[in-house]
Amino acid sequence: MKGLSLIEMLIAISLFALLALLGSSLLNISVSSNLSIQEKNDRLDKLVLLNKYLRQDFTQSVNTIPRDQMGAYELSTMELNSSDSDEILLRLIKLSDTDGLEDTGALRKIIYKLDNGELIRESYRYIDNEDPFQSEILLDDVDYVDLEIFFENVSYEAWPISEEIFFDSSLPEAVEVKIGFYDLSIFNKILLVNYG
Amino acid sequence: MVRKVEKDRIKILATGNKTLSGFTIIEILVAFFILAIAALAFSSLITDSSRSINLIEERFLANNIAENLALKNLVKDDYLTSSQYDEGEETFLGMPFIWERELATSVERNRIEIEIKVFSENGDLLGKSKVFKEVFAQ
Repeated sequence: MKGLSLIEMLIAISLFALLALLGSSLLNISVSSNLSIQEKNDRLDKLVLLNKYLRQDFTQSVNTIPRDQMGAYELSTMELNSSDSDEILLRLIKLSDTDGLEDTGALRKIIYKLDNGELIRESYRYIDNEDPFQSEILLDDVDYVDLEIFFENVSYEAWPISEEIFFDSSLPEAVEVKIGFYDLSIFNKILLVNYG
Repeated sequence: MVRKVEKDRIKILATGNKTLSGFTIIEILVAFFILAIAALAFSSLITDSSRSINLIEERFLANNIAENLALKNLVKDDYLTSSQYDEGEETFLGMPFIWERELATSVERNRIEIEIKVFSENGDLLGKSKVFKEVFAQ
């Protein structure tokens, strides 16, 4: 029986080393690409969710009549950038899609606010509740949120424009939500509210 | 004496089984070659998955742009110019896109059809959106 010669062994080992190097770099690449894919996926997920929430909240905040806990009726309203508190971006008071007979309640208040780079959506069961019944962080690393409100061919920064219009027609035609991230990228979304 | 026996045993151990033989160098080379091909296939799998997530992201963003532009044209008159064809560039979440706008008027129905198409930089169609704007005869 003849074994491998030293040269053959050296060749085999060096080949193995090359392959091992290739394998380890492949592993490295796959781990890093997996990380970046996951990061992208997370961001996409969050944006899709944000899209869904914004659309749902804006289109359902039509001019219906919400109630407070005592049962008193109040006007359905949309407040954008006009709150006394700086961090609250939009406050929507709206009727939910249930009939109010279930314990989820038909009357809700939705607040979007920016707090330490986090875009938070809070939902309240009744319009005069102090604590949110649900609070969710929608996005991280948010630098600013700008709103542009479209109403009869004019853009506004805040809504309601005046008390008069507030009672006359409480909803704008469309709203553009512009979200600026710390990495300087911008995501914007236009939502129809009460057009046509 | 003892040493002689020991040596013989070693000799027997080394040459005892004449049919036993290792892989030849050619066989090892072939095996490694096959392994390398498998690794290559694996690496292409990784790039595939990252490419598809990029495509999904691109499409999502492009559709957002298309919808945004269409709705902007709908709610604000100053975005509407008289030219039937318009195009421009837009950066969205750090990614560059090219958009095209086409207008078609329907006189009988008093409306303008606004169609937005969004392309990647290479010219691939990624998303489109269409709205109808009511126009009232003056």
